[in-house]
Amino acid sequence: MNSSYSAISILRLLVIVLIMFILLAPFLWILIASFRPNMELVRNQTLIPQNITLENYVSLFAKSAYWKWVINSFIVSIYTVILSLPLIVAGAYSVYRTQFRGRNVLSFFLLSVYIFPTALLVVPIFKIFDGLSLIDSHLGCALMNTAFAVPFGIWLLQAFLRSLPPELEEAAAVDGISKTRTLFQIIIPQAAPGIIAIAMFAFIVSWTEYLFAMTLLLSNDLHTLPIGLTGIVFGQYRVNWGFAAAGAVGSALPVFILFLIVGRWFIRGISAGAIK
Amino acid sequence: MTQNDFRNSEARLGLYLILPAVFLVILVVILPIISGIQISFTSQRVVGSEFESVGLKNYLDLFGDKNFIASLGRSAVWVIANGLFQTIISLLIALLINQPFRGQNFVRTWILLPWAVPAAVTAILWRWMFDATSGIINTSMMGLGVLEKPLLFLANPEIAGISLTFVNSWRYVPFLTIIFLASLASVPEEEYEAAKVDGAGMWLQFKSITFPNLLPTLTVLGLVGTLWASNVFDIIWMMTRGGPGVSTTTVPVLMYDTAFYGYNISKASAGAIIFLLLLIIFAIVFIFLNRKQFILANETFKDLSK
Repeated sequence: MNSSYSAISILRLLVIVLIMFILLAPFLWILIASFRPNMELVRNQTLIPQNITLENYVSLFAKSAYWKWVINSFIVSIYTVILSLPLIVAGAYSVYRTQFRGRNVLSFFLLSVYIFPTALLVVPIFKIFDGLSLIDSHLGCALMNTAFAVPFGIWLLQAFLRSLPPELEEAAAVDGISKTRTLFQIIIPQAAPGIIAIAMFAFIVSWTEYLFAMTLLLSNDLHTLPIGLTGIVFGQYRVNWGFAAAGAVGSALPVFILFLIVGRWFIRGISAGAIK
Repeated sequence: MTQNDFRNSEARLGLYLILPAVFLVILVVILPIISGIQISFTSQRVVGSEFESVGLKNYLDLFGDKNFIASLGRSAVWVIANGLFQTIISLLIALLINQPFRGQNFVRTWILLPWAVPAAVTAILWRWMFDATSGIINTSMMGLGVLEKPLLFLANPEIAGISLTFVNSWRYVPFLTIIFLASLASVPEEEYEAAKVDGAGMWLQFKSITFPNLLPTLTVLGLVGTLWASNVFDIIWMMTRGGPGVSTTTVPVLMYDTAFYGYNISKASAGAIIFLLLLIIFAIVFIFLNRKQFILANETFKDLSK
């Protein structure tokens, strides 16, 4: 019994390693590739690099608009975080702690955002935003990202709020402290880890976004990283894989660093409230 | 302050707090749908151009359009392949990593990386991995003698859809896995203890405890996952642009192309409305068939929010 059990657990570990390999190996592979000359990637590719070079990063940093794209992406992402956080905190508190007629309907209405196919809404959105002077504007782009980050963010944060011990809040209610003051002085400080998790979620939603940025940002000067990078990489007949690899690393790195710092909190924030 | 005043002020606060989010959703979802319906009854070609009302012409044109009908079929195949495959794989992975093992924390955090990087990075990554002459998959398979000729993952119409399904799943399975994990964590430990006392094996425990407890999540994710899959645009657009030929042109890809490259926003809007109606019908039928599970999920939601 015991020996067969350990055989199963070894097998399980092997399968987990295989899954993680499929999910993560491409990142390692492209990181290595970004330091190899393009010629070496195109012809007779060997597993182990023959030459190490910085030429791909030189053309990314010095010969492309990389830094401009990074700054644009950061602007849109920061806008998205700043717009999302108050909406999410307020919405989550409303769903989690107050009672009013229509509350359930409204919270389900918010989640229905994800039903509608964005690629098909983009034409009328373009038309409406054109009327509001939000075309070719980072703010307009951030507004779209915010609308798609907020509903899931509310769901995430109210799950986190439910996992907090209720004693402090109950004491405040007994002392007759208003709900608004309770929110600012008790809930928000206690929920700091959850709020960091949703800030990270909003940032990732915006950082990875492609469709709205492609449609709503017309000028080259305003392009975000995904748009600028794919424009150069896939715009040519023959893809320069060395450059593409450096660009991919340069686009994934900020998210990677974010994960390194707050990744665990993010997972904790997601799994804090038991979802059924 | 009376009890009733207190209730009212609480209700008002709750409503005020959630209204900004509701307004934003109305601005970017409800208004565009209304605007899309309006555009679909006109002859407008590009945003800002002149147009006249044409009634149902765009809709009738689309029903006679072989390209559109074929793209509906491809969307159906894409949704079934992606929705089904991703839900099953995510559930299996979640069950696999739910029990403690060394490195569990590492796996739970870094499994999300494919979901967290820009779709543009995913597209670059896999276009390169799949490349015929320099991609690692083809070069190593040929080096090992498994393949004689490179496999054209994205340029062969017969396998391009499968390759895209794989890449799309690579991207979304990690996220679904984490949601399943959160759900597994909520299964009461006592039920397993009781089952172990009764001498139930692993399969019986899964069948009688884990699965019934997971069913509401499974049902909700089945619906949301299907709708998400139908929505996928960026990966397809960046990797194949709907090609080779039209082999990976799903409805979102065709309608985007019609609007912005075919300069026909009214026809694209009509196509979008038809697709949206089909999705809503699907959602209603799905919810009706699984109404028990949705009621369960809803009750849990109410219990938790008390």
